[in-house]
Amino acid sequence: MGPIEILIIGFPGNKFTGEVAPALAELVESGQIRVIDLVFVTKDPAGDVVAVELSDVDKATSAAFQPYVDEPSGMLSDEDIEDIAVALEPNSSAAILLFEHLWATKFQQAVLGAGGVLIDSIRIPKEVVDAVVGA
Amino acid sequence: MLRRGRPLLRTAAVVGTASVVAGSVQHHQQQKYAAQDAQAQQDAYAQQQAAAPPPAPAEPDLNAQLQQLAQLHQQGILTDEEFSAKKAQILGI
Repeated sequence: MGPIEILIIGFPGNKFTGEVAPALAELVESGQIRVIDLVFVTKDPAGDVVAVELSDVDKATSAAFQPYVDEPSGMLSDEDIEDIAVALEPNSSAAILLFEHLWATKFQQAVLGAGGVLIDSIRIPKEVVDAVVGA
Repeated sequence: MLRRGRPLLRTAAVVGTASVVAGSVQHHQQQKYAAQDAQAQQDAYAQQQAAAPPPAPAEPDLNAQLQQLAQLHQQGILTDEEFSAKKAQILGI
């Protein structure tokens, strides 16, 4: 398995919806990413966190995301969910998406096949780019 | 669904990811878990240092040297003066 990434997507107004799911469509359908795991999290006004599986969210949300997730693998552990939820505002919800960068896996294999070596891979988040370019 | 596998984020923080991150989740992870790991390493090192006995300083075997010298003197190989002079040298007097 190639590099994998966790994306945490906040829902507007604290409710799970299927509205952002189509954003995944092109990435998944074109084979650029493969969703390995998906879990929903909600933090109530008191700060208590509840994890909700895809099979347990409302039908509309579940139906919207299901085409892009073969089967949630459970690779995101309870501790990961706990750690991620720390960054959530009270009274908010999020979807935690774990996916594989298939393009990167294929690229690495191509590099190795050509006798190259992948020395490193460093990802610079948007906030850093903005700060550097803006300066 | 049981989600009791090895935690990705805490493992990444301890092992050290190659990513430059500004995100609050990973920053929190690195602070908490990398620090724990660094502390554990420090403790292990300190323990190791305490357990290792100090090396014994090398000492010339004065006793053996003097014994040998006395023997040579007894056997008549060294004169009284030679014996006294060498003995003084060995003892550093």
